[in-house]
Amino acid sequence: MSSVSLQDSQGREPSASPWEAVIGLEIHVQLNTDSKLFSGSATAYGAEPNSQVSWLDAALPGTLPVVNEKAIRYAVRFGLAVGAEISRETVFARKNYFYPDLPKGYQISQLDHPIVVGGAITIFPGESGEKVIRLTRAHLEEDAGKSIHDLYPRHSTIDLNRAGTPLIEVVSEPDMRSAAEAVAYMRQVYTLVTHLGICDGNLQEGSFRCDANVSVRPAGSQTLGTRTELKNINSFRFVERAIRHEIRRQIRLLESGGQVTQETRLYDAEKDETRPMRSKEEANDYRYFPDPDLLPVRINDALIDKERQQLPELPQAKVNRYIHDWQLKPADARLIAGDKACSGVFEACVSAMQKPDPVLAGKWLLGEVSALLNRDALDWAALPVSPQRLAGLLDALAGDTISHKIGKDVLVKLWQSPQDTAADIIDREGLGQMSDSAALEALVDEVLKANEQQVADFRNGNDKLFNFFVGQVMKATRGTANPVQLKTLLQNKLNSSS
Amino acid sequence: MSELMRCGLHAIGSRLRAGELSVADVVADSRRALHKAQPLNAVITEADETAIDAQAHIAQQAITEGRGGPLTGLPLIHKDIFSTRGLRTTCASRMLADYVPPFDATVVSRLAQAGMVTLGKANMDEFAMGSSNENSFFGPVRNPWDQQRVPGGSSGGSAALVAFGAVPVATGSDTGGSIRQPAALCGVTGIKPTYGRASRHGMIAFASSLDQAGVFGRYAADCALVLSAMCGHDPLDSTSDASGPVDYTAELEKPLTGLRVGIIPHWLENTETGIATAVEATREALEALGAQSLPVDLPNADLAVAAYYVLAPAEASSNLARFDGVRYGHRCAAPADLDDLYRRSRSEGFGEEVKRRILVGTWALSSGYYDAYYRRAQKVRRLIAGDFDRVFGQVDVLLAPVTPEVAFKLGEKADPVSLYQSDVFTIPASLAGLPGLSMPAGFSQGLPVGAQLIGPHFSEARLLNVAHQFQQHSDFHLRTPEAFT
Amino acid sequence: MTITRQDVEQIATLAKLHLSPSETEQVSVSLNQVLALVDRIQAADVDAVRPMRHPRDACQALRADGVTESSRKAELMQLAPETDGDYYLVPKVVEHP
Repeated sequence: MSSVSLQDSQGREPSASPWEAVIGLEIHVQLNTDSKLFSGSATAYGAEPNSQVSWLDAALPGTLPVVNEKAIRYAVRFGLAVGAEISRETVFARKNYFYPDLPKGYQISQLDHPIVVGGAITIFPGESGEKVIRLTRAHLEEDAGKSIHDLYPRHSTIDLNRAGTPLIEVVSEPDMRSAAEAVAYMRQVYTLVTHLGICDGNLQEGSFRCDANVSVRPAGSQTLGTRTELKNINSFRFVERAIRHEIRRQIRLLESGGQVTQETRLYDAEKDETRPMRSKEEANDYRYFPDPDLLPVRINDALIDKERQQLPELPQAKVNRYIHDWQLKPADARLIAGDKACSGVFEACVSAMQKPDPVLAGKWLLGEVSALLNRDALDWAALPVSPQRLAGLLDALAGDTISHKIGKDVLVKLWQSPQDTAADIIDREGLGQMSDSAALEALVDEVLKANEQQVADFRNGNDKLFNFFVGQVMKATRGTANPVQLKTLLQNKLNSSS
Repeated sequence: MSELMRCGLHAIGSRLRAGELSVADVVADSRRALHKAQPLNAVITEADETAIDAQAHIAQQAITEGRGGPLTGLPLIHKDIFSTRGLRTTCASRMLADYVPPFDATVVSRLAQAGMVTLGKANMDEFAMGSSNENSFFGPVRNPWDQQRVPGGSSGGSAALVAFGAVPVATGSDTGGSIRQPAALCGVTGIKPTYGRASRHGMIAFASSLDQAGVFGRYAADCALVLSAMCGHDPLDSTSDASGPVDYTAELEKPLTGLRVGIIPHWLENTETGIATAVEATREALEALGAQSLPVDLPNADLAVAAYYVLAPAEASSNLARFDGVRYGHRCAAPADLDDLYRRSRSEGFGEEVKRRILVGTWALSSGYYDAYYRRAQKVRRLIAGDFDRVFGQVDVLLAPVTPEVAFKLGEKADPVSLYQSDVFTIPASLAGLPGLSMPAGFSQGLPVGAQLIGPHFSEARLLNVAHQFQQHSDFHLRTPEAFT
Repeated sequence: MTITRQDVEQIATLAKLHLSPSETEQVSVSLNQVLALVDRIQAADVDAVRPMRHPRDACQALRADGVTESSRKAELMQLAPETDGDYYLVPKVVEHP
């Protein structure tokens, strides 16, 4: 069969495919501690090159690592949030390899006794349905420095500012079956670590990075195919594209009688292709062994209890609360809970409303507010209108003071003027809906009188003209007429005696 | 040699504080003796004269103002494994031939704070790998008792300088015997404290789970003084013990009445006669001071050398990976590419023995061999530690030979494995992390013989007490190589 | 067991050491001597023994998160064999590890 039809336009593999993809992800989450995992150097992004490098970070002879307590706590917090087992005694190990941005010639990581064992993440691929992705483990390790290859023609340059920044590497079981599931999983992990406050979530700065292990096998088979590892795919979009591409490549290869080679491949976003990294046979022998410079870290009940108490409401609990207590649609609930800043705005809005209306608030945030954020390329954290001022707008909408259409105009004005409240704008510009039915009736009469021909046509059966009259009255009231009231009035007038 | 330096820290210190001598006098005397010791090749780098003068001046001021402590104004030499800020630190390697550390090792800064004056850096086996001090990029050190013979290693320079009488004390480091063995071969006192007692921060790593700083002196009492100042918890070393400094001089005068001394007959059978005789005589001397002795056995200790030569090279292979020619240290000329940069810089920078151990260690950690060698050696390590635990339920200290033979000739042990056997009696305590002390206990073939005291964890004060009491009733530690008298 | 010349070459590649053919020959001889020594541990009965990672049974003390270091850039750059004043320089690397 041809491989062309394997995916529809949304990237979903149709169930009829004779091939099944098997995907596991390794996600590197930078922990947002102030100092490095083993030294007191700052971890701030964007500093002058090699200015956040201590003697230890440069691996000067005789320097020794000392563990940052907060990194331990953050890893524990992650473990609790995914329902994992927290190792009571966790051990750091050395992963030995040579690379210029790895100053010691080994990375301090974990192998046999990782801090977090097991756990699971629930994903919601597509519009409905949910799936549990099991975690193998999450371990602590230090980040490497940065190699820059394009500054000079004959040299690579090394900046060690990032060397030693704490990471947790979250390793999933190979439980995903499509690129869409993989990206849903990655989003879910992202949402979780940003909610927990252990990662700043800055994708551009590399705070959240992903490697994917991809293999394919005949549908229904229980054995795993040979896998390839896709390295360092750092945006949700690229993860999906890179994996989709790799699945297709492997299927083509297998269908043409070839075999997949176990190798590491790099995704080239510009060419939309993956290609093998030069592989050397020795590259895989990392000679892990327990780091003799570090003793086992014992994690006691007190530390675990404290982290448990400090655990914020988890995204999944939030989703459930939004659906069950606040009657949001599941898709909307997940969208709002999926972004920490968005859910913060949402909850602040609802609680600031005179008569809290979560459904109205959700509808507006995901609709009009979201549209303006997109227009201005802003994220929720940079929302220019405070939740309190948004609540004022929502109050006016809920109380029928203004129509949806006027609400949109008021929102644009709120966006532009940081001082005004919705009530200020509505009052100042006379945007409040006409509640005086006598005045509205007079206006309707005026419009009907000025359009006698159309009134006659309507009465002769041209029903379409009804909207013409609505429009005319709205124009006359600059949109402030209550549409329901207006329609009733018009109907009464037009259908009454000639 | 210098008569003054032979007097030891206690005597020189009292004369300094009494105003009979100035710090400048003491320092000048020691420096003259260091120059006389040049044929020994025991010094790699001398401290800059102005730096010495500045330290001496501060020390003199403290003494004059009555703030002088027991170590103020006293000269010392550091093994060239300790980082010294602004003073070249080579680890006896071409790799670091031009390396000037920007910070002090904790041991160095603590002794400087105590007022000691650093005169220079002592020669050693490259990266502390060796038992003869023949593996130095700066050439071998010679034994002051016979210049055709080795001083032992790896802290050979430190031991030779104290034996010669150029400095009253010198620092050293001990991974598998690198303090105790040269102390024995040079006829001085040397102590390696419990693993974790002295900070490893700034001490260039060989095998992290074994390395421990210590000190050489003519007198056990001097070692006690220096050890008191250099030990205690260091937040910069995660493996350093949480306890604070201890005054190791406090129990020096305690009588040995009731002391239970364990003898390992099996070890005595495997030493040259002169050494066995000296250890026997030491036992009798301790019994005369009120101790009682009984035979004990360490059944697994015979496996110690084998386990050590898996574990120490494995850790070393990883510890020495940082020497890559990128951030400091030797870099080869005109590298063709990154791999060439690594391989040539490292091959040019490291000596033969260092490369051998890196290769052994790399192999022991590589896939397919880890369980059979590295992991198995760690298990053997626990067996050996268990032997000691059992024995220290019966006795307070062990009295043992330090080496199977006295100082051998330069070049005599060409094959590495025969040299590895020199540490057969020192490695077991290293694997168990126990404190060990070597003290002069006699002569064999005209060369010094050491006796080793091993105690349970944190029993340094006891070991120094036993050695001090022995030295009150013996004169082996006071003898001086004839060639230099 | 014995270590072959090929093994030595493989280990040297991992350890980033350059060995000439004659060195490789010498090293395989001495490595086999060392191996004969260390192989004595094969005789030990250690099935029920836990590996000993550290000489003492202690646990790691933790450091409070906080920036305690300032820039050491000038001193670090001065120690290095080749820099442009801002970065360490190495021969151009084509691929990542």
